[in-house]
Amino acid sequence: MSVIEIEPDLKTCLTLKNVGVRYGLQHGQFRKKTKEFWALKDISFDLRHGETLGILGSNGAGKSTLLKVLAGIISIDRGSFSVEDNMHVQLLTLGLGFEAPLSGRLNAVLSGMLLGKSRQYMEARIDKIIEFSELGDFIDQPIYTYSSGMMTRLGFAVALEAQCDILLIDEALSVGDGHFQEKSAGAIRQLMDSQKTLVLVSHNIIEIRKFCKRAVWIDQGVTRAMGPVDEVHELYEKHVQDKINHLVRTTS
Amino acid sequence: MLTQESTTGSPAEHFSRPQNPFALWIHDFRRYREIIFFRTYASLKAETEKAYLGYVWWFLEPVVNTILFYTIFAIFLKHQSPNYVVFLVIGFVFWEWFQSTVSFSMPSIGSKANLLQLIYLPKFIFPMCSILSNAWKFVCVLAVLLVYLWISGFPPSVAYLALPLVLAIQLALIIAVSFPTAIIFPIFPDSQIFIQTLLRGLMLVSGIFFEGSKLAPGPAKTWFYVNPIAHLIDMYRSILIDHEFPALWSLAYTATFSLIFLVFSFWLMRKVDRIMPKLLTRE
Repeated sequence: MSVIEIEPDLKTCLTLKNVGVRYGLQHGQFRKKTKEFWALKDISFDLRHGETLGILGSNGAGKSTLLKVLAGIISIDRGSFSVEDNMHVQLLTLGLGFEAPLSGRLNAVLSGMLLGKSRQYMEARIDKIIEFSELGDFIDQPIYTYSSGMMTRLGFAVALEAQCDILLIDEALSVGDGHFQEKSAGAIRQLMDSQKTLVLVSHNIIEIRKFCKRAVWIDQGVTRAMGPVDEVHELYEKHVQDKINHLVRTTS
Repeated sequence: MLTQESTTGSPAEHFSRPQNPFALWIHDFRRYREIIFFRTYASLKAETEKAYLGYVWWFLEPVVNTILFYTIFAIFLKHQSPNYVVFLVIGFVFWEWFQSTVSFSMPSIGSKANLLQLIYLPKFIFPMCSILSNAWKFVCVLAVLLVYLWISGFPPSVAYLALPLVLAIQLALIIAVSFPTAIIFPIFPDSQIFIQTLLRGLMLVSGIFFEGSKLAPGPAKTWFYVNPIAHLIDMYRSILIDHEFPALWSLAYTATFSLIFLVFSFWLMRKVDRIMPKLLTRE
């Protein structure tokens, strides 16, 4: 693994060392566990306060498993993982915990509470949420009456208000239609430019270059490189080129 | 810094939480109690808004059921014992509380499989919400039952002082049974049929339709009284019909049984807490 250090004086808030996560595969009529699968084999990187770290990895590299480890959803099977005390890590999710029979208002409060905010905190911000989502009186209707667009707008508005200390963003979130897409992209850009600690996970190096100074490249559950985004990009491009060359050689 | 070190796959703590299991439960109840209460309140509210008669149904339904029982057993079938309807209704009401809560809590974790892939939440929250909302509806049913008893010539007595204790023991038993079933159900969906059958069987042998103490002494009677629900129903009948304090032996047996089972189910819930999302992925 290549590690290139930059800004070593920024305080670290999250560290992974040689982390591995194993799933048991199930198949067959009686669903017996016959094979084990290591979704993450050897992941090491750290996250610093106030930075937007990019995690680059193609599909199948272990990105979604890694996100679950970071958010504390699943436990690791090897290595070590530390987070600074009282820092809440959460994936930016739209409509987290939304329940169809409840009204938009109740769902907004509940969703915020699931994300770690108090009921008072969310109720104090409900007007802002109604404004951003442009739902008006619909806020008191059960969400099974909402269109998908309305649901998305509400989900996004709530996610913005109920932000956690460390936010994980899976792929570039471009949500909603036309004008709301601009609104939401603007809000995300604002988040990235702010002092908030963010982790952007994507298979798209262009997205990562746009928003991150530092990046980590993960391939098949293993960390391949960590450092300034330019250097990681270079290593990644080289790897892709090597793969293409290999393909060309084996098929010709 | 909080470190999760993996040795044999045992999940360590992610946030700043106490290590001692007892303190951890207190911490979790404190931290998540707002979510539990709000979610319970929100789901009850949504239920009342859906039905035209709203919360009136919480009282209307037990009234209708009581009238039904009376019509069938007192008028049509004319049971020999004059108080059979009261006897039956008591057994039925408290059994229903147990049965409906366990059934309602069973899918509570499994139905949140998607949510649990996106955020960490201690799994006990979901069956706890089901338990609380059912408990609330039970309180309405209990109110109707007590009114019915008073009308039927069974007014309150000193023995009522023991009622909260017996209710607390039953609540402990309900939690103790609901937690493991909520855990097992999403992992082994076949368990649902097994559990429903078990519940149906339990209903028949818990002394709802007959009096356990009148059974001939022998293995049947011994086995009958291994079942804590049989004891609970006996105790409720002592209080509400006979105006007597429940038998000390029944109290001790059910309290001990429920407590041990409760400790086990809390231990199980903690054990599977961070493993469940991995197991639920395949759903």
